[in-house]
Parts: sequence; C-alpha cells; structure tokens
Amino acid sequence: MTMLFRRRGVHIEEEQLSAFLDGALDAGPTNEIAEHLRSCEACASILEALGAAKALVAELPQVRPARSFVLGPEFARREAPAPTRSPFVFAPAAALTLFLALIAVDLRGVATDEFTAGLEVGDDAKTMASSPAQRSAQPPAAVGGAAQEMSPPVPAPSVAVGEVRPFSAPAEGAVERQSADAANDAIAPGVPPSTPAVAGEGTSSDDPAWLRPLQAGALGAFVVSLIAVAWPRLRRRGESKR
Amino acid sequence: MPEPPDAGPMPESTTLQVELQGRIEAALSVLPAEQRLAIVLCDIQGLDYVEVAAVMKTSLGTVKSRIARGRARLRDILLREPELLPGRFRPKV
Repeated sequence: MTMLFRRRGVHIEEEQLSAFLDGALDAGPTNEIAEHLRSCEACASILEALGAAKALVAELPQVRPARSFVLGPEFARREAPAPTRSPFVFAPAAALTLFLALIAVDLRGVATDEFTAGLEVGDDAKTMASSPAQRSAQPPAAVGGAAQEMSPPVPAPSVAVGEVRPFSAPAEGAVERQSADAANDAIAPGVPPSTPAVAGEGTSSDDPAWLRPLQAGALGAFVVSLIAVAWPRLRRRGESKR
Repeated sequence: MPEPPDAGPMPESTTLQVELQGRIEAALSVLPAEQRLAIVLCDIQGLDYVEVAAVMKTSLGTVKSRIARGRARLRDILLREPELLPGRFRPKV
C-alpha cells in the first residue's frame, strides 16, 4: 500500500504529504497538493493518518526540568573564573622529594663508610696473610730501600694504607721517624702519613645522626600535607556519590 | 450533603491515556535515532524543517525524508492496535 502511493504521477509521495502537513513546502507545490487532495481520497486518508501520528506524538506529556537551566545575561557576561589551584597541592610532592633526598644523603654516607672500611680490611688482610718468612724474604720490595738502609736488622713491619705504625721503637728517635715517613712515602707517595688516620676517624664523626630529625620531619610533613590535600577531595567525592 | 462530583478525568480514560502514551513512546524508541530525533524536534519541540536541519547539521531534504519515514513508521506501528487510539484517530472502516 505504501509503495502504491510512492509512484510518481499517480499519487503524491508520502514525503511530500508529510512536508505538506508541516507547511514546509513552497506555495506552488502546496497548491498542487491541495488540489490533488480534493479529488484523491487515498492521498487524503494517507495525509489523515500521518496527521494522526503527528498529533499523537505532539500530545505526549513533556518532562519538565525542576527549574530552568538557562543562564541569564548576568551570568553570560561574567567570565568563567580560572580554576584556582591551591598552592598546597604541591606540598606533598615537595616533602616527599626532600625526604628522599635526605635518605639518599644518608645512604651515600653509609656506602662511603663501607667502601673505606672495605679498603682498610682488605689491606690488613693482605698484610696478615704474608708470613714472617715471606716478609723477611721481600723487605726491599715491601718497605723500600731507605728503610733497609736505616735499620737493617729490624724486621720490616706491616704497614697498611689506613694506619701509621711506628717503624721501630720510640726510643730510637727522630731518625726512625724519618725512616717511617720514608717507608710510608714508598707505599703511598704524596699522601701525608697522618691523612688516612684522620679519615678513619672522620667516618665516625660523619655519623648522620643529624639527618634523622630532618628525615622524620620531612616524612611527617609529607604525611600531613598528603592528608590535608587528599581529605577534602575524598569528602567531595563521597558527597557527589551520595 | 452529597459530595460534588469530581470534574477531573475518569479513571478509565486516565488509564487508557497512560497506556497510549506508553505505546507511542515504545513506537518512538523503535525508530532509528536520526528519524526519532527529527520527529521529536519537529513534532514535540515545534521546530520547523530549517531549524531541525541546523540542529542535526544536515540538509533540508534529508530532514524532510527522515521526518516522513519516521512518521510513516509510527503510523504503521500505532495502527496495529487501533483500539488504543482515540476515536478521532481511528481509521474509518
């Protein structure tokens, strides 16, 4: 039935009838259709059915919003405020960065201590491993020519990098001290004899006890600022879910 | 003293009205989205074809076609149960 009314020349197409119903056609087609409808009952009934569908849809009750959401001119003129961001938003990140930096400083100090301690232990172990016979067999290579010249009968003591030992008895005087310095120079040329000892003591004075309060403070600041920043957002989210 | 009669609609007509509205909404929901939007904009919101074309960002001919097809389909669906239609919309036998 529908196809019958779509044939051109016999009856008017439904699309034209629908547009005629809505008054969307120009004057010429409107007059032609009106003329045709006077003599064509079939097209008139189609138009009537289309009109019924239109009227039924138009009679549907419309859901009205509780209030108008159209903004008035006073709102249209007002520029939208830029989203303000609290300066404390970055506080947790800053506190965490500080805390991690202090941890890094602490760990670096521990690593340096372990490295120095490893060096000392290693040298001591090497020296202790060599037997007295070996030591007596290799005095020139281990101690140096100057020490051999000054005190040949005394067995060459083991000298480590990290410590200064008297080369001979203190009673022997300044000559022995000079020889000790010479021996030390032979082992570590250019390094003052007192330097390793001072460095060894320095590790104990570098104990990072002063870091602890700073680390605790940074961690506390991180926790407090994180709660201060996150708590309002969590509350807002909870309210919006409700 | 007897109570004055209620001037509102009878319960039966109210029930029929609600049922008819449900049928029309169901028929609308069956339509393709483009046809449904065109019908709603034209028949419910009261826009003319030019405004519907502007809202849907399409041509006037497309709007005309969508409205005509959607309206014809609505008519076919509603005529499956003509007893629900008000008397003025029932087809004459």
